[in-house]
Amino acid sequence: MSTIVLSNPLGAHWTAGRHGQAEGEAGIRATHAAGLTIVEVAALPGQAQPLRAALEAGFGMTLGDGQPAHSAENAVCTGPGHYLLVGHDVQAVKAAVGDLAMAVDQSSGRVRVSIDGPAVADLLAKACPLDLRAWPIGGAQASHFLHIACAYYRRSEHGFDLYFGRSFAASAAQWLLDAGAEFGVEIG
Amino acid sequence: MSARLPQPNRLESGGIINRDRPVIFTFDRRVYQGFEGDSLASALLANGVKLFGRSFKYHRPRGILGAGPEEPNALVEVDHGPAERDPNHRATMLEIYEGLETFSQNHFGPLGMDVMEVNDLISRFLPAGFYYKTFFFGGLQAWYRLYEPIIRRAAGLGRPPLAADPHHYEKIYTHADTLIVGGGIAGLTTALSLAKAGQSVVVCEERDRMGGSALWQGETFDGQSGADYVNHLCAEIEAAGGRVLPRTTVFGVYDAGTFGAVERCHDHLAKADRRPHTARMKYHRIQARNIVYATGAIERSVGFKGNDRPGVMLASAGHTFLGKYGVRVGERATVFTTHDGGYGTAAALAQAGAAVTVLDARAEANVVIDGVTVIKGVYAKQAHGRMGLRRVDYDGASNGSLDTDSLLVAGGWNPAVHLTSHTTDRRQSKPVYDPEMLAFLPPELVETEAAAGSVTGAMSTADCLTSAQAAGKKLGGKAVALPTVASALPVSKPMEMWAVPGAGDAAFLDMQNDATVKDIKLSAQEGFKSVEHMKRYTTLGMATDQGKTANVTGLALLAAATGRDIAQVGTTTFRPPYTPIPVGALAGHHRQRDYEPFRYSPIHAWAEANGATFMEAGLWMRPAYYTRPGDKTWLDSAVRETKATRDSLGITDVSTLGKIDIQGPDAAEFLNRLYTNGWKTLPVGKARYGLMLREDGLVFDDGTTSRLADNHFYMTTTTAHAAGVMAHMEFMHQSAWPDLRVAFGSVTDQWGGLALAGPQARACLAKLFPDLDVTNDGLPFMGVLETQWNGFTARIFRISFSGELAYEVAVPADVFEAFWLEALRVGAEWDITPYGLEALNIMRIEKGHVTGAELDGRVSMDDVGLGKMVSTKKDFVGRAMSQRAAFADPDRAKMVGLVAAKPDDKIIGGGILFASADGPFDHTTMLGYVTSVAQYSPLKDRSIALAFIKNASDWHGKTLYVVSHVHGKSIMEVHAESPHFYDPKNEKVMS
Amino acid sequence: MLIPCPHCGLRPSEEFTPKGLAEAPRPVIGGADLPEDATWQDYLHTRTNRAGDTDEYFHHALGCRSWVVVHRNTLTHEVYGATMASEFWAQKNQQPEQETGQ
Repeated sequence: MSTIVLSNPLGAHWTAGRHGQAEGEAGIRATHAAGLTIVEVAALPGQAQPLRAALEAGFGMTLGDGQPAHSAENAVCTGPGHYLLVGHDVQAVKAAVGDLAMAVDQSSGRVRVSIDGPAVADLLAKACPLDLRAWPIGGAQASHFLHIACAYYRRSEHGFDLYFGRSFAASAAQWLLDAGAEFGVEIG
Repeated sequence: MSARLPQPNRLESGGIINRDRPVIFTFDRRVYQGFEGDSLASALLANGVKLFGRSFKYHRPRGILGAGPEEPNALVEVDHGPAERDPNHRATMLEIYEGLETFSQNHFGPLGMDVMEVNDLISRFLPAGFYYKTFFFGGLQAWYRLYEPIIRRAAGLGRPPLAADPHHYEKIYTHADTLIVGGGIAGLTTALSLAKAGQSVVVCEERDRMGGSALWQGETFDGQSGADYVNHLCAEIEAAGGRVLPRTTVFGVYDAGTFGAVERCHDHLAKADRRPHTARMKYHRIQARNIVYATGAIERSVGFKGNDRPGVMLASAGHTFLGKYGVRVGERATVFTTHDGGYGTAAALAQAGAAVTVLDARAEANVVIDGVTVIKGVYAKQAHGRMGLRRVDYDGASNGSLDTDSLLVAGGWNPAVHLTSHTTDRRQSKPVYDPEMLAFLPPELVETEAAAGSVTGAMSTADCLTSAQAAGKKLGGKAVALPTVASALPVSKPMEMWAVPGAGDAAFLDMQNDATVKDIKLSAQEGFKSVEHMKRYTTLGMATDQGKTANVTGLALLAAATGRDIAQVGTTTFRPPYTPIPVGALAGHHRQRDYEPFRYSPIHAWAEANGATFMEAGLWMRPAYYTRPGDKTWLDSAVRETKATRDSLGITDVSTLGKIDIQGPDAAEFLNRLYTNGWKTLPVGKARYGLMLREDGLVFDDGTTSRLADNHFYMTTTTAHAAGVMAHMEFMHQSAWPDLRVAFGSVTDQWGGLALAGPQARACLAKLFPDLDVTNDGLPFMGVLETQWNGFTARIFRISFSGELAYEVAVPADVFEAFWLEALRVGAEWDITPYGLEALNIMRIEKGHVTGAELDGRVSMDDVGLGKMVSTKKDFVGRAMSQRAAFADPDRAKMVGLVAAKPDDKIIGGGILFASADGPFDHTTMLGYVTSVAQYSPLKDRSIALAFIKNASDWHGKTLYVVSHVHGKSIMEVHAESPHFYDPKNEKVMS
Repeated sequence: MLIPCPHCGLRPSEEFTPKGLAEAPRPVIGGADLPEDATWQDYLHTRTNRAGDTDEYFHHALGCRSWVVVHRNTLTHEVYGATMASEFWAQKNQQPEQETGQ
């Protein structure tokens, strides 16, 4: 089974190395995590709070309080009682949420691209309607990237994880390279 | 650096152009030299050019009127090849660069000798409303054949580009606490006040640099020149975290603090100087809590005969060319003024060595300037000089004639209130007329808005600065120390003179649309007394400049002609955009291949490499057919693929089908309410076909849903309606049944799916899953198995769309390509053949399966033969309305199959069905219509189709005629039969 | 137009898909279910189209995927607030006299 090759969801344009503006430091550094386990969890009606408690207890994470969304690095809140759990075994997630929520494997269905670098705010200004000033580190937001549905998680001042639907990922990747060309994009 | 060429009207010093950087450019193929920092207008004026273009209606020769975005006359085309031909640049806003090629517009023949100028000679026969009146003669035919082509040729400003725009454009989401519109001294001062208080500010200035009138009025600020002081302000704003954006037009104000702005990043640069990978323009969608209108004021002219002659311009324009660009617009200048402000311009020109005469409309005026002749109580009666001003006649307290080469008109100021009137979300929007100031001022602003500078009616620079301080304070800014302004510019309120006594025709208001003082009077006479009616009747203010220099004068004259106050007449409605913006800038990134995203199947790359021709299905790219050696047409490919599937084994990609994972104790109940049929009794491990209605009783979507566990279902939808079904389910769950214990998510992208179809499908499946019992008992029709493939979950569904024995197999998308290749490998034994949508279409039409072509939002369950799929024991979406009496009407068209009578005939999709070949072929005799066509069915050895017809079953076995009015009126004979051509008893799918 | 999504906060309207006025709840299961029934007619077809304060369904399709009911004024364009559709009708039933969102 180790011989199975995972296919590339990001299309032919997404190749390692420098893209766009070639001089100076790359404004954007981008990486794609292949083979990541992603489980979508959605609370049954009325179970959002118990689900949050169950996830915190089950995985030893703190999902924080307040808006825009209760999130942690590996538990990205995409809606009310709705999370993407990243890097956790599917069965373990199902066991943790029990009857409180739906849990469904999305490891193939979602594609995570992480971006970092001094020009990330300028890149996002071209693609995402949200105000970075009102976006705390550790906050998740469900919005769009050039009108492609996208769940964002802010890791740091300039570091963001972008989760796309797989079938949209090649267009999203191409558009990310188009928008980032002005600053130079280094794909690692 | 190129050699210096003479620029006759350029002064030796002065202005903020870079005299060390001469720039070569062309206008109408003649080569000129200007300097870096010049506009095309200033550079051509420096070179003695007076004639810039022709007017729209009368083709009168025109020069420059203004010096900024308000310019109505000097529209030019930038032409760097067919794709980069860009018409209607205002010469006053177009910055020159090395190699710029520009052309004048709107003339037939050379600019100096335009054959359409005959319109000017017969202008008394072309009054306002001419078009509306004249073209009634001769009726519609005359309009299409005679008038319309001529008007088309004569109308239009400039020529459009002939090829796709090679530039790219971007949209930027810009957020700020406060947006400051206008980067003059008032806007910048307000911005600094707010930035120092910690607000994030963005200052947008439409012109090439910040500073506004400080760049040309010659005043000093704490002893610094205007330009230096502006630089100092900008540096302080940026140091406090603010942004200043020159060449950025805020074109619209929208609800809730949303503003539209376009930043021009490239148009002022030669190609070689443009930063690579940057957009030509950036459309900023600005979201800001507060707005400061520091939009300045636009000077107005006065109506008198010949006030459009080249060489007649606004006083502030002449002053700008002198102060900002070091260009003296004339040696023998005349200033015609209605207020003290005109004297500042007169003094500046006199200081620059011109002989200046002031015609002051006021009998009483007290400004005295050394060396300037002042004639009081007179007005300019007529300007002479078709290609360039030569003489001006004046009248009034005295009369006479002056030889002059430039006439600078100071008719008063119109605050640029446009943006203050764009929205109604917080307050009334119309500007307010101030009869003292003779100007429209902004309406009362709410707490998130402020105005600063001359838009408030402030006239002196000192007053503008004070208003800026107040604006900053209102929005929470810090006090900033105001500079000491040293000014020699007198100001006063103007005398009321919109047009001079006796002015009529050839006294122009709207220079671009040639609307005159006489036209306004005519409009009032003919009963078009509302300002909105007058605008449309005379076309005043309807050109690309939207009447920035003309409107207020026009409505003041309308007020006079109808005996009303100006306040009673009011203004027309100001709407975005403030100045014209390219559509490309609004489209931004989303055009051509980037208009919308594409969605790709996990085997897209394989299909591309294996001869697939793709078809767009919504956002998806789906293989339509695979070309193989020997296939001459797409139909050859589709028929080959169909036959291979029917005879042995076909494989197709069904990854694009919508898939929704549904979990929870009430999951079955949820499905019961969504579908017409019942779901509670569906056993685990079984799939069922389901039909969804809309709440109005019409068919919405169909698909199969499988029960994977008691509380776990897996739904499929059509590719086209996947997103709609998901949103529908979310709506019903959240708005109608929020207590149903169910949760669901789209897993469309999680799973790749393929269908194996044909007599050998089972053998192939058995080889792919050797440990699985896939016999008819182990996996019967509509059975579902979940298993493993190489450690990954695989789901096998025994369902069929093609009418063959078939299985759909889903594996995670990451490994779908590998699984697909494995299926091809093991299927080679049976000559496995990939098939696309065209072959699938032939097979499903042969089988009588419906798709979106049939489920077009107008059909009921009965219409498509699915009326039995209703459980009467429960409620479901659409149940009540599906019982409408109209749905039971026997006259309703229902589905029928058609077979072409002649082997070579191809039934036409969308064709209309008739009982007789003799006609008439119209709505009185039409019986139905064709929805889906197979150009060739191997089963019938000819074309077949699905159609809808009244009393459908009565027609089985009878002859009908298909007529398509959009494909000529050929009459095609067809035979009707059951739409289930192929294996009507389902023996194959059950085998 | 900005919509205050109860989950996400203030978001631009481009993230939302409008559906129409929320003037009546869906008739309950087990109630009258014939097409001529006035409750059904009203639910499906009767809209006040009031110029002024309205309640409208919007789907936060490019966001958290909640259906929300937006309370706004169609004359002034002022947006007063938004309620989750899942809570809207229950809240309305509890406060029958009070206009929502004011």
